[in-house]
Amino acid sequence: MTIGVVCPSCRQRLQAPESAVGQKTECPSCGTRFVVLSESNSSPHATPQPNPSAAERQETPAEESPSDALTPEILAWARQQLNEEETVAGLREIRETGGLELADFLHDLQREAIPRE
Amino acid sequence: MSEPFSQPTPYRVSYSERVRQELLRLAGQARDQGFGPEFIAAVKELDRRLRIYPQFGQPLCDLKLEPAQIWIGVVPPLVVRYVLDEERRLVMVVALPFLLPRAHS
Repeated sequence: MTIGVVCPSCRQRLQAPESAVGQKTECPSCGTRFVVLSESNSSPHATPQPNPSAAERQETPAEESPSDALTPEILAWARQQLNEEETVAGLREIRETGGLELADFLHDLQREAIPRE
Repeated sequence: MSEPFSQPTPYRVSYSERVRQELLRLAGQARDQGFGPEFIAAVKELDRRLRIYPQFGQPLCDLKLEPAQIWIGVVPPLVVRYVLDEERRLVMVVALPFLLPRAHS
């Protein structure tokens, strides 16, 4: 069972297992270390619940976070533009071959994005 | 006595070949538009977050062709879509990533 926790530094909404209450943890967004408490740094909307399916997910009030960049229009486009066949083919590829890690091609990305003069 | 600092087991993050090709294409686009270093920083940060806490994103939609849920996560200017396998602690970046419109970057 997960609980909702809000990072006291960057306000990123996180999920943590109930067993994490009382434990120190690190916010994956800003790196701030804090102790998970059941109420004082829990999300005001915290309700223990499993990850909902996309169809069941309810809208929550917006908070300042990078995910604010995902406007309803962008989310709708991201759903519409998704190529299911290609996605499933990718899943099968990874299950069969293990897929690629970023380290396998980061150097190529850097060379492409930041050419040396 | 201090409390133990808990470090969760990281997830494995795997990319499909098609996603790798698309990231290369986006890297060139970012270079041409003058934000190549920013793009690389976003790629690295996204990978880091997917390894540590892939739930930082949000569910986007359910696949119809197989029982899997697509998540979406953003580190401006890059958006990734991925499948999360909690049981195997595996993040599979299999849907093509894209760049945010410049107004949102």
